[in-house]
Amino acid sequence: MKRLVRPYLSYGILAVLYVLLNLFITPNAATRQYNLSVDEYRIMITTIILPVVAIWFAAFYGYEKMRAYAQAIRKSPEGPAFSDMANGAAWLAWSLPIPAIISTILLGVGPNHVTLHSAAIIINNYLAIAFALVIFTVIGRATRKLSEVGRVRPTLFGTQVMIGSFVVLGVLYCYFTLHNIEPHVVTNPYHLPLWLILLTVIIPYLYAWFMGLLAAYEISLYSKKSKGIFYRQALHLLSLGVVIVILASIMIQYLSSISPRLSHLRLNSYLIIIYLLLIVYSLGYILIALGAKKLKRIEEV
Amino acid sequence: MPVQPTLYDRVVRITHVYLGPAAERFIGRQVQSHLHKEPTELSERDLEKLIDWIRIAVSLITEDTEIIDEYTQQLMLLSNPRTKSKRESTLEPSL
Repeated sequence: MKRLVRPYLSYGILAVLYVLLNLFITPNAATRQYNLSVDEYRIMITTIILPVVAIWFAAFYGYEKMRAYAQAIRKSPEGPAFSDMANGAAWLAWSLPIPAIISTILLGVGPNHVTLHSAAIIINNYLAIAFALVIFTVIGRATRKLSEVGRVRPTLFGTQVMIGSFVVLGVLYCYFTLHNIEPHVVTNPYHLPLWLILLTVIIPYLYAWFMGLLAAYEISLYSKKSKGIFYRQALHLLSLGVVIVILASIMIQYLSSISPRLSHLRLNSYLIIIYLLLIVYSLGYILIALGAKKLKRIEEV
Repeated sequence: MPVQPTLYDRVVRITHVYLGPAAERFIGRQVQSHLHKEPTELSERDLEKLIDWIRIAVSLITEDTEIIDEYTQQLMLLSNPRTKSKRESTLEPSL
């Protein structure tokens, strides 16, 4: 019971903190960029943070269900894989509120203190990279274990599609990141020298996304090859959810890391992109929760 | 000489088609909690009761009665086929 309450309690505290921070801290940069008054900014931010907080709930709910299922089958051959998967889901859930809260505080305080502004952007970028690396490494380890237990091997066609998608994603990412980048540290959007952007932003992100794509491919392969009509139905929901969450988080990281390049977009277009990604993200978490719930049901009856 | 699979093994094998890797755990749970014996002690006399419990348990997982019927019919075939066919033939109406 204690273990069940803890994630939801943490979620509740973080959600309230995030809403309050957003209502009381007004980033000057955002109001300047889109010519918004403070009240207009607060109304706009409320329409974003409420769905965001709802998605956090879906993420915490999904992770709790996954953890419960992993606990139920801990002694089975698939137990260690699902335990790692539950850890990955936990990291995914925590990766939503923590960077969002830190970013709100830093970017809210940053513009008022010139020296803090660069530090705020650098910390935000590295925090996102660190979470991406940890999440995709943990989930990748879980899907590798599942592949070994299920004795599934990637097909040639599947590998070609995955590597092809990764190459397109990677090349476009390098293009958007490096295109017209200012050599001066102060004026470039990352507030870092070029060599540091290459070594500590682009390479880690590309590595993390490759791990993410590989994990998405491995879990979908495992769910297709699994035996058992009822088991496969439940696993299919879970794996689809994991695939959607991985792809959506890659898209979110992708967009947020090239966001300085999207500054020309109108506010409406930017909001539509954010809403679409949030809807996809929440759909993924809901599928994870449904799949894990069904799988756990099989272990309960 | 090949070892004959036990009744429990055969039940698990059929269940595997429906519950995949959860099959062994599922049958183990049904036998232990409803028949109050170890899975390896499962005998043909327990089969009817076990199938009833399995039907109830599976209906909590799915509402698809067709698959539930198919699954339980597969399990029923495990009860001594010779006795079963003899019983069915005596019940057949004479022409």
